[in-house]
Amino acid sequence: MNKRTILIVMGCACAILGSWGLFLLKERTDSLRSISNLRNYANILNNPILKPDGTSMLGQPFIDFTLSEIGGDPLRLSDVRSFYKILVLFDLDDCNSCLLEYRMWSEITRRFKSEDVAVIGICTTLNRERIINFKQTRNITFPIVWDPDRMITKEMKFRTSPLRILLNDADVIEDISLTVSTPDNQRDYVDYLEKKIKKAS
Amino acid sequence: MFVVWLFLFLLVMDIFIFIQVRKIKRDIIRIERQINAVLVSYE
Repeated sequence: MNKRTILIVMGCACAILGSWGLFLLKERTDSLRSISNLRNYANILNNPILKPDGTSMLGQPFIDFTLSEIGGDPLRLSDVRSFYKILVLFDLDDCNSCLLEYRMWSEITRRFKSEDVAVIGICTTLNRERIINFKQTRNITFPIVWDPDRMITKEMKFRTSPLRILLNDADVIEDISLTVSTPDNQRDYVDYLEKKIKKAS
Repeated sequence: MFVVWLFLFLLVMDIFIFIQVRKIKRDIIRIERQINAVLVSYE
């Protein structure tokens, strides 16, 4: 092979590699764009305040549910008259550290007893006996309603549990927060609630 | 000589971008699976 042929072959190879490189660069740009969109969407899904379409749940009325209370009569949300309501949506199959929150739920019930704040638990566990057992062994004094069909989760389009939902006197969502498992974070959350409630009242 | 160097440069660059694109695509599949798992479990 003479030098000229080698030059032509190498030139052709360079042209092929160059166009492949350009194609790969375009692929890279497209992939980066779609991964950025997907990450944004995943962030929306991980944020309990946002709906899957990215709009906020704050300021929306909560569904006026009627569910049977564990060891009591049916409970209707609008019948509970109080300045603030804290709904604790949980399932006994949530992670163990998530359920350590029960200490905080009791703390909230105890601390805000005189301030017209009602705490209502909503449990989605299928087995009613397990909920009764959970309530008794942990000395939970606030009412827990049973929602085995996940009616509230479906209607309100919640995607995770446990959740804490703060409602005002008109049953409008003021705040939604995720699990707080460490004692320090739990204390911070109760302080935050206290400030918010005092500010409003 | 220039053509040889150009060929080597393009080859290395293409391989580098190819590996990067494969990695990004794998990440895309992983995130898509996570999103689907969340959407399916709470539908």
